[in-house]
Amino acid sequence: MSYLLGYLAIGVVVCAVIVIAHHLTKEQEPQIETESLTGFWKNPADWWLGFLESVVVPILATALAIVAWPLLIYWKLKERFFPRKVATSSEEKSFSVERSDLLVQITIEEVERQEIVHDPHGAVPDLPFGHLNAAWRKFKDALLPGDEVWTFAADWTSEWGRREHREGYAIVRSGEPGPFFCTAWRFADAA
Amino acid sequence: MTAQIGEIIYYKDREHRMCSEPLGDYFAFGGERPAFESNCTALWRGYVGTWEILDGRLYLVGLRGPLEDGTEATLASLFPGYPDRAFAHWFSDTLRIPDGKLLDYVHMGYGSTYERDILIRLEKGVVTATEVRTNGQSDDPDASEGYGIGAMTVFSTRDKDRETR
Repeated sequence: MSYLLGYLAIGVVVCAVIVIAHHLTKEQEPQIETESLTGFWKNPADWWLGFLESVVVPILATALAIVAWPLLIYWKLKERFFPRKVATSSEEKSFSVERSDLLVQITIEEVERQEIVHDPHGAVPDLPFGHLNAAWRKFKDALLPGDEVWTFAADWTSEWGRREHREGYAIVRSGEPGPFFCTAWRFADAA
Repeated sequence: MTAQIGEIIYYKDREHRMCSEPLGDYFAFGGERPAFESNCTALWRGYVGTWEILDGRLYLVGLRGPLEDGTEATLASLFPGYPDRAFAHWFSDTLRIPDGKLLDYVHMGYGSTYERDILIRLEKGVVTATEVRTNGQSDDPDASEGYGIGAMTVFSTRDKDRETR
């Protein structure tokens, strides 16, 4: 029993340190777009959302932290010594162009001719794919002798069950589509 | 997931919030994504872009968002050489701009419903059609006007600040 109390007491201390640290650093918090909230709070019917997020969630989080404080310390250390990398969505990782998605074979010269971007206000470089020219050049760098470039259009359902449509260009190597360059991405349930 | 802060768009001489993220496509298509510091549950993407429809074209005219190195992202840092506006030629989809009073608040993503949705369809950054969809009429005189979010949690960034000093 005394071990359990000791364990929980450490959890309380860990939580107290985190709460104090949080209050001490409050003035450092970036105030991005908080003005978008003003006005919304005038609606009294929505007060409970603030209550939920400002009171209920912190209380539950505190209780959880007291019980599972070693995890909290582990995450904090991990965050400090192994900072996270920019995440890419799992949808992006799992999408690939299939043979049935291929439309027509096209040359690099044809693609670059038809994908030059112009803007009357001069807000884009007059290059193939404009602001995405560097990404296009990276795609071209993946081409090997004998590779073909095809246009593609794919209807696909993501891991999250979201139906989407993608278009672009794909490298076909030995008959199999591989790396692709996306030029359009629409969700079927979008407005 | 908390309701998300919308991007800003100037449309027909009015400032709106929109429930679309054209920069998301830019990053998905290979545009370089800066390491945004996401410190708020209402802003997982880490930035807020300001957009404008000018002469039937969509432009990004501003960008705010803290980066993991402690600096602030700007339009010029994302599109070097284009500090004032960048043509969103990569965007071929529909912009949804909620308008009017709130009908149904959903504290997740862009799930809330408003009296109207202005739908602007674009092909390669150029407007091809505009439609106003009516979703209903609010009989609540206190209902909030225009897109907004109900609550968010902001995380401390002190540790990160210390590291960058």
